[in-house]
This record gives sequence, C-alpha cells and structure tokens, in this order.
Amino acid sequence: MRLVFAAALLLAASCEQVTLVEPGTQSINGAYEVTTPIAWSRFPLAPMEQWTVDGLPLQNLRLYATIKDGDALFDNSSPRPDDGVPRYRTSMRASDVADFVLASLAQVGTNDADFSNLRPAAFGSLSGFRFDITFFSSDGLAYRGLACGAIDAEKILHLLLYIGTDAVYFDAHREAVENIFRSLTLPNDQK
Amino acid sequence: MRTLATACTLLITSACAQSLPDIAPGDTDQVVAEHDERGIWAEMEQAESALLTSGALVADETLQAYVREVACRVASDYCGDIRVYVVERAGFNASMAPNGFMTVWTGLLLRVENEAQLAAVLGHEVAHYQRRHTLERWRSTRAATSAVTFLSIAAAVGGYGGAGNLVQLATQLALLSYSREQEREADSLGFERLVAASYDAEAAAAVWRNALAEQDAMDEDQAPPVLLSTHPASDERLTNLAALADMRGGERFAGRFDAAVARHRNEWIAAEIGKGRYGALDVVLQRLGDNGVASYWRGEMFRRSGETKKALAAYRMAVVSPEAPAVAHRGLGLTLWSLGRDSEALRAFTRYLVTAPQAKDTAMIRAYIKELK
Amino acid sequence: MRAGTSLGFLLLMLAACVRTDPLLPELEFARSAETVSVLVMPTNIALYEITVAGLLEPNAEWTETARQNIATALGEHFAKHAANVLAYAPPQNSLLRHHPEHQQLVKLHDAVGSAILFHGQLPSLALPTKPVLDYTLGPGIAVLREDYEADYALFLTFRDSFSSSGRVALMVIGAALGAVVQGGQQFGFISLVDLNDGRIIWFNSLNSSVGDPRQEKGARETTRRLLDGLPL
Repeated sequence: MRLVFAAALLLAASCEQVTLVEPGTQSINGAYEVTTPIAWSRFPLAPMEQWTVDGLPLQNLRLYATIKDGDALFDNSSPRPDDGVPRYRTSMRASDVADFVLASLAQVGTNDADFSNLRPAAFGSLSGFRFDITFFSSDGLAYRGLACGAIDAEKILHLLLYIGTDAVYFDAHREAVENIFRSLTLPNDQK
Repeated sequence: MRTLATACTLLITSACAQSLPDIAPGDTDQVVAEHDERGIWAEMEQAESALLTSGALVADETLQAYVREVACRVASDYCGDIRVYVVERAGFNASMAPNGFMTVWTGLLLRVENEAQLAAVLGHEVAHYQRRHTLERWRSTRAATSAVTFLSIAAAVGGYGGAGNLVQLATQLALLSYSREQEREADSLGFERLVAASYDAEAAAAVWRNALAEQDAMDEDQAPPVLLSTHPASDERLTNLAALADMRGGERFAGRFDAAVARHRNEWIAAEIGKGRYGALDVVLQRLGDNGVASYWRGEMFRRSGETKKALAAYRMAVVSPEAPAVAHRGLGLTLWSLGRDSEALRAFTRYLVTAPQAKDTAMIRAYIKELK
Repeated sequence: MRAGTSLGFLLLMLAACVRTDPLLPELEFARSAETVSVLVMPTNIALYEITVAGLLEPNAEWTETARQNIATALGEHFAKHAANVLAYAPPQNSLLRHHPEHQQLVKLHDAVGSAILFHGQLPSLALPTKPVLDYTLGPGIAVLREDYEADYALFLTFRDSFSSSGRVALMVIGAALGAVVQGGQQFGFISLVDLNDGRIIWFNSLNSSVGDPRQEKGARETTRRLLDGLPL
C-alpha cells in the first residue's frame, strides 16, 4: 500500500520518533479524547495521528483532529498522475463524507472502494455517524475498514478511520477500535 | 560548460530523430530480439499480471468483451497481439503498454459519445503499439537524461546536491508523455484504422475537441485531463484530424455503445465527482444531455458547492425522470432541509426509503426522518 | 502501468538507508519431522542495468539466468539438509503467477514483508508494540498445505542492478569531482512460512553491493547469504 509508505516515509524524513500509546485516555490534538484498551505505536503527522500495532501496511487507525474546508485526507503526494484531489467541504453531510473517504482512497491508488451501513452514532455529545469500508490495495490485497465521524457546529469534521488487511490484521484489533469509537469525548463534554 | 550543453542538445536531437520499424502483426519474436525491448516486455508482463489481480478490472464481462471487440475492429491484423482491459478509474484516459496490453479507464467510456469515438481512441493507441512508441520514448529519455546527468554532476560539484537517483522503469515510462511527432503519427495511423473499420471519420477530432473543452472548463491551477498530459494535443492536430475527416462519413453506432455503457454511467460519474472539479464535470454532463442521471449529478454538484437554489431545481428535474437514481430523493431532502422546508424534506426522505429500501444509508435517513418529525 | 510490486519498490527505496545486519525474530524452532517438504513459491526476481543517468533498465536475460541459478542453488542447499523441495506450479497458459485461490495469501505475504522491512530496517520506525517481529499469514494458509502436502513455504523477492559501462565511467568521473554516484545494489527478502499455522518462522534480508547471481558461483554465494540462519 503506497499510501502508508508515503506517509511513513514522510515521517522518516522528518525524524519524528515513533512513540508508544499506553492503554488509557489520550487527547488527539485537543480536539477530542479517546480511551484505548490496548497499546499502539503512534506516528504523529499533525494534525493527524496514525496508530498501528502490527505495522502500517497491515493495519492503521488514523485519527484526524480537525478537518477544515479544503483539507484532504491523505498526503497529496499521490502515486497517480491524476486530475483533482478530493477535499472536505463544509457543505458536506454524512453520506458526502462517506463518498469523500472513498474518493480519497481511490486517489491514493486503491481499487474498488465501497462503503456500507452508514448509520447514526454518537461522537461524544455530537450526533455523528459510522460506516464500514471495503477496498483493495493497488496491488489487489483485500482490506476492510471502519469509520467514525462527526461534523461540529463550526462545520469542522472529526474523523477516525481504521483500515486493516481483510485476513488477520483487520480483525486483530477490531474490538479495541470499536471500544475507542465508543469512548470518544469532546473537550466540553461532561465527564 | 557551453560545449557540454551543445553536445547534450545534439545528443537529445539525434535520439529523438531515430524511428523504429513497425512491429509486424503476430510477429513478437522478431521484435523482442532487441535487447532493451525484451527487458521492457518482461517488466510489462509483470505489470499486466499484477493488473489482472489488482481488483481494478471492471467486473462486467459483457462490457469487457464489447470494448475488446471494438479494439479488434480497429486493430484489424494486430487483433491477436492486443489485450484490452477496462479498469475502474475516473479520468479521461487510455494507455498502451509496449507489450500490447491496453488499459481503458471507465472515465474514458463516460466521456466518449459513441462507438466511433471509442474506436478513434483505441485506434490511436494501437498505432502507439504498432510504431513501438514507448521503446522510442525510453531510448530518447535514456539518451537525454544521460546528458542531463553530466550536467547535474557539474551542478553537484557546484553545490546543488548529488546526482543519479535510481528510478524504476515502469514509473518512469508511465510519466513520460508521447512526443508531438509520435502523436502526429498515431493520429494519422489511428485515423486510417478508424476509416478502414467504416467508423465515422469525424470521431477522432471530436474526442480531442471534447478533451480540450473539458480542459478549458478547469481552473488554471488544475492539472489537465490525463489523456492530454500523456498525449499532448494541439489546435494543429485538431485541424489536421478535422481536415482528414472532411466529408468522409461512416457509422457512429451510438445505440450499440449506449446499450453497453449506459447502465454504468451513474457509478462512473460518482467516481468523478469526488475530485471536486465541477466545471469540467459539467461539460461531461452536458454531453450526456437532459436526462435524470445528469440532472441528479448536477444537483449534487450544486449542493456540494453550496448553490442551494440551483441544486433544488436540478433535483426537482431529476426526481420526475424515470432513469434518475433513487438517491436523487435524498439529495432533494437534504437540500429542502437546509432551506428549512422540513415537511417537504421529510417527504423526500420517505420517498427515498421507499424507492431504495436496500440503500447503504437507510439507518442514517431513518434518523433524519425521526429528527424532522 | 503501475508495476504493482510495492515490495520490490520498497526494497529499492530502502537501499540508501538500511542497516546491514539480518533481521531475525527470536522464535523457537523445532523441526517437526525427519524429512520436511518445502514448497518454493515463484521467485519475485528482477535484474536491471543502471544507465548512465541512473535509470533502471530491466534486463530479461540476466533475470532469467539469475532465476535459474538461484533455483539450482536453493535445490542444492535443501538436498544437503534432507528437505524435499516442491516447486509451485503456476497456472498454465496464463499471465498469472499464482492460482486465484492463492493470490490473496501471496499478497498478504507481500504486505507482511513490507511491514517487516519497513519497521524492522529503520530503527526510527521500529514499533514499540512489536519488539519481536512475529507475524502470521493466518489460518487461510491451509489451502497451500492441502494443495501441495508441504510443511513449509519459501518466498523470495530479489532485486539486483549492475552498472552499465557508461555508468561505471560516470562513477569514476563523479568520484574525481567529489560527487557520489550510486552503483549497483542487491536487495533480497526471504521468508519461511509454517503451513500448519501460517506463522512466518524465519526471514532474512540482504543488502549488498557485491555478488553476481548471473554467474553460477555468484548465485551460490548470494543464495548462501540469503539462507544464512535458515533453520532447515
């Protein structure tokens, strides 16, 4: 998967250290907090964080803190000589965000991306949404994913995106990710 | 330094000037007798093998067979040497690998208006194969970059960084564009193929005219359609193709083409709209004419860019049309809701659920309905 | 036109910055039977000539010679260690290198290999959550075990490049002028998968600027270094 390579190479270039996320509560750039039942290896790529247990090509949880109008989901160094980078727009609703995630995945070289079961889900005190994803990497390896997001009063998008190989590595930490999604709290929420 | 630069220019010019003999139909043994060509073919065979299992191929076997058939018609004696794959990908492009596998993007099938236009592109690509243009490109690049390397060595000594990173061939080839000379050649050979197969001679000029129209509708900072970045187009080429076509006539086969592609257009537009290039996409939609699918997507473009009134009008046109996708009701509902017309929005969402009970977002819509009530 | 060989691509990218010691998971390995069967998967191999400018030009003859030489050397090694070698039979009359029911396994192995190289080769990218690089391809591996009645599967990815005479000249000129011009480099990744449970029980990587698998002797030497520490 070139997209994880590209992101991780960028990180290697910036010499930022990979750190350990211990089980417990973590703040994601002050935008929201999550509680994780397991430990993760954390790759910061502000304003986003990437967490993995077994390695970025196998599974990763991308925690986007604050997606503003015009922001893209993946680093723009696309392997495809292509026309147009998908960008978040404040006019978007939940179904548009699902389309936005799929278009972003297609832009970085994945094949046959699709979503299913778009449904309402609490994001702390916000009414957010969740959906499930399937796609193939550019090499044709099957992946699955889970997404959880919300758009706040200022039209800022918060998004958590978990993707992993359909065999073995998605399922390996799916439960932990479901727990993280349920644990979401916003700064103003009552603890 | 000046002498060096002059020498380089000479090197580049001479490399571009040499032209290779055609690949003879069915005669791949003779071709791969060339040492570098054999290596490139081996690499491309791997790329082709990877493509077959990449999940990128369109699953509709009928569509694959149809495009293959059109390619065969224009490839004529090269039919047995060419393999055509329709890949699920937005954007206006088709590409030909030097070993004879061609990828046709679904974005191309969305943009050509009839079978003759498709045949014009395929014939043009077959000409690139027949004339061994990729090998030619590779050789001239290799020669040209050799010259550049010597310059960059000098630059390195002067403090501008090191020379010579390793670049993978496949990546390199994919980014190279055909030369103008090669395009002229492919235009003229492709045109002969088009006419020989009794297709509408105007089709070739029409394809490039449409690609340029799309480019004109883009903002200046946006990259041109991929077809144009790898196949440089010009007014001169357009004029030549139009002149060639003058009064020749031929068949367009719009009906046959529509039968093969029409049911896919909705998903293909969906793949385009995520890119956010609404101006260019609108040009494509206009060519599709006034139908429910085009109206729906016009509504989506307007709604996503915040032009609520225009969105409302487009959705209203879409929902009364039989061919509009069910999601048009959802778009209408979201638009009405944002205008504060809650009871109408509620009706639109309800219609959506009735029309598409298996949709991917029914749970979300039910929540909207609850909120509206 | 994407080659789709991300693993090979990664190997090339890592060339400049790797540490050279082999990666070994600290795993217990016990040979389960007197004679074991090893299924050798199709070798993902390519040899290139480096043009003056540093472009990699694939060389089909070199690749084919190296493939045969390495296959022979592998056979010799396993014969010495009383292992029964089974060659993977690719589908006939097809461009595919693997049967459709094996494709996802092979691709998963590529992804795991990428993870091992990526996080294992660069100390700054080491995973705190994975101090021992212990990986599995999962229970899906049973397909291979049943199709071949083999105990283990061996996967090899290998890239090698050799400077053209023009490039060698450039290296000399560059050195004289104080610029570094990269020459040929050999990268390999090899792994042994237990077909009973899918675990990758051994792997090794190779980064070297010496060795020439185009020659029988060189291929034997390269193979010996690739198999260094193989518990069979």
